[in-house]
Amino acid sequence: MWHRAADMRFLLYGAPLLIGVSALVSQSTVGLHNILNPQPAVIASADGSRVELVIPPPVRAEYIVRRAAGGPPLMGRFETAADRVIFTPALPLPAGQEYHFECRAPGGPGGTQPFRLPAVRAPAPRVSMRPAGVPLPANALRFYLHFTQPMEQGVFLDRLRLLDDQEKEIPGPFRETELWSPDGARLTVWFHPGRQKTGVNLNLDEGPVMLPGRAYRLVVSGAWRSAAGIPIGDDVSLRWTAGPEDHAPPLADHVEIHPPAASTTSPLRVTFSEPLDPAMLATALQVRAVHDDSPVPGRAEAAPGGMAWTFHPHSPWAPGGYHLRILPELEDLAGNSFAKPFEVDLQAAPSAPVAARPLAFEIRAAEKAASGSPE
Amino acid sequence: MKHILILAAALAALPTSRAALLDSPQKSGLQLKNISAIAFGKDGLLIAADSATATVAAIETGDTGPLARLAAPVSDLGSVIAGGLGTTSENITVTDMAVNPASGKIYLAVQRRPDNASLILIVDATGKIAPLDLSTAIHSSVSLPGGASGSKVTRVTDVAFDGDRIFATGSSNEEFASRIFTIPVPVKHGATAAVFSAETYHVAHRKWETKAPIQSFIPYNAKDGRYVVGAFACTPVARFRVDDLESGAQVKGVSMVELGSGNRPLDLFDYTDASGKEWLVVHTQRFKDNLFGPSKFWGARVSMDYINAVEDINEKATWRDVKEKRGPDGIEIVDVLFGAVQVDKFGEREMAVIRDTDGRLSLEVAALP
Repeated sequence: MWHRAADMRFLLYGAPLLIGVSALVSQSTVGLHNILNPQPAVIASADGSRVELVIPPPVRAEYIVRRAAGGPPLMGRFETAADRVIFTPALPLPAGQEYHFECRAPGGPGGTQPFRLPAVRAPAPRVSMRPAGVPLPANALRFYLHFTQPMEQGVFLDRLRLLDDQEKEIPGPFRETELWSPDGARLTVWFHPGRQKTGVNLNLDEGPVMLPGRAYRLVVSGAWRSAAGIPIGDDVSLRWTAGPEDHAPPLADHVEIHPPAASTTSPLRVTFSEPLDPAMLATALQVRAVHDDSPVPGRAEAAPGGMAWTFHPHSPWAPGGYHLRILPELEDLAGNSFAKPFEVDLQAAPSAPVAARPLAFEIRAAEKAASGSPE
Repeated sequence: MKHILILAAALAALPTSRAALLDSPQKSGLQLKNISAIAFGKDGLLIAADSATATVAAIETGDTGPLARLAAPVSDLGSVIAGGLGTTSENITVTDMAVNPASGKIYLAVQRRPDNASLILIVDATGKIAPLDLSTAIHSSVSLPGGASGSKVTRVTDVAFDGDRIFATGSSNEEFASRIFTIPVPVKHGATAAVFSAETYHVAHRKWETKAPIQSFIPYNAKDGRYVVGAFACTPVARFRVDDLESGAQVKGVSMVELGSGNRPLDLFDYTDASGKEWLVVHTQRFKDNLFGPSKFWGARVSMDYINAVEDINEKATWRDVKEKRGPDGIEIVDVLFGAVQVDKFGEREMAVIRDTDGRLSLEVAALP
């Protein structure tokens, strides 16, 4: 069956490469009769998850695959078929490296067949930040880094530096927990909560990460690699200014709805009085028709700055009443949600929960489109 | 002869106990893409969290003994692992470690960079390292549900087995909150875990109450009930009573001990010393340099008397002064944990420790104080 899968693999030996390979084989089998002569082909799957040495397996032979001559054996398992030996590595073999497939009868002759997996050809990853184009409150909780490809994980604290407007690096600005999107292309970067929370130990000892009115620059290291191993290249600077601390929940009363005209597929636009979390915003609002409370099918998107949400209906708007529902858990940039502030003052008089109410609006004929209001 | 009889009795009991751990298990098809936490149950049952898919897998390893201790430290562990995976040591991260109490073998969750490929390795008593073959692993996988806003768990921070159920803690990459999940045993393949607690809180100076994700935890049976003892990202050790709670319930952790400003707990386990006194070992990473040791990675043992305190503590929680080497009573620095990046209990008197010395990893079994 593996022959039919050849479109997914690379035949790793062509005539020009064989010349160099012969030299390597002779070096690694000094004093041994090479049982891999004539040299067999090595076929590897494109993702490096399977390697086949095309040779009738010698009886009771031992097999080893190494990254290089003399290197430690790679972890994996071997199977034999009538005309080949199959190696399934514990993890797919990294691309762009040379390997050695060794075959040796116990106490008897042996041989080594080198092969190389081709390097990955891919563009360098690019990075951008959300929210973008708005100040971050000095007590902001998080922001997002969007990459154009899945990225190398486990290194983000070494790949990010935060500088203030005096070009002084801020020590320990981020929470250590690493949170990627399932596709590995979006990283949630949390400012260190111990420094951002009022009265918590690090906040008292080290101070907050940001101060209102100051400018900041995040330097993303150009050495950060994509999961395919391609580095960003040059360091990337992402800049923002810090605004006043924000301890107040966003209010539904401050949400403005800009209804489109009926019988069009023009988008519904919703704007806010402060930036909301752009990742949560994309899924936290819902449009429903009043008459049957059914959700309106469509596509939603959050503005990069978190100040607006746009809904594109799949079908033209029918005239009539609608509701905009806001999930109470939707947060602003400082973690205050429509339901409650991020920091609750236990010594203050308890306040009534701030519930997000559905907002009513109406879709009318073109010249009579109206804005919404809380119910 | 006595040992043989005990072993024979243990083997005879295996089919029954194993059968009780998994429900509708699968015999193939297990894939773990991003293993963020591992732990052991009984009879070689390995619990593995896959953050990429927000699932927890219970795996019958068949590794049920006999018990053997790691004979000698494994030096340059990172290079050995890297060599076996076709890379170099700087591209290897040990994301978690769990000792199988049945065999003494040490299981490592490992991630390779830059492709982020993940696997589980087994270190036997001779120091030999081999991969756990998942292709034929008998297992049950359970999903962890998302939050109210549709946000998914994107990081499973810890898992544990308490005999009756599996606990897991997870964080979302959008909401600043952690959730505690429970999975009943036997673990039913394809089931969805119950959300035990949607939010945990941290109270500072009797004034500010904020959400606080749990970093690590252990199940703990106290005289008055069953608890989860957890460590917040912001350093306090707290307990959560877990009796009589229904799915979807929200609980507030009660802060019992504060290890001092700027410490990030990594691992917890409890043990009983030779005198019969119970301790909680808290393995921690400091925000800044450590005043009393050579590494930001360190650990302390905390008397379980603090955790067992009757009254709710919170703002009365005992604080350790980071500028003082000793005290308060019942909180002691464990010197052997300086430099430790992974820790797990090994039997009742020892612990397995992965230590980072100038970027070089080593694995050893060290005595508990």
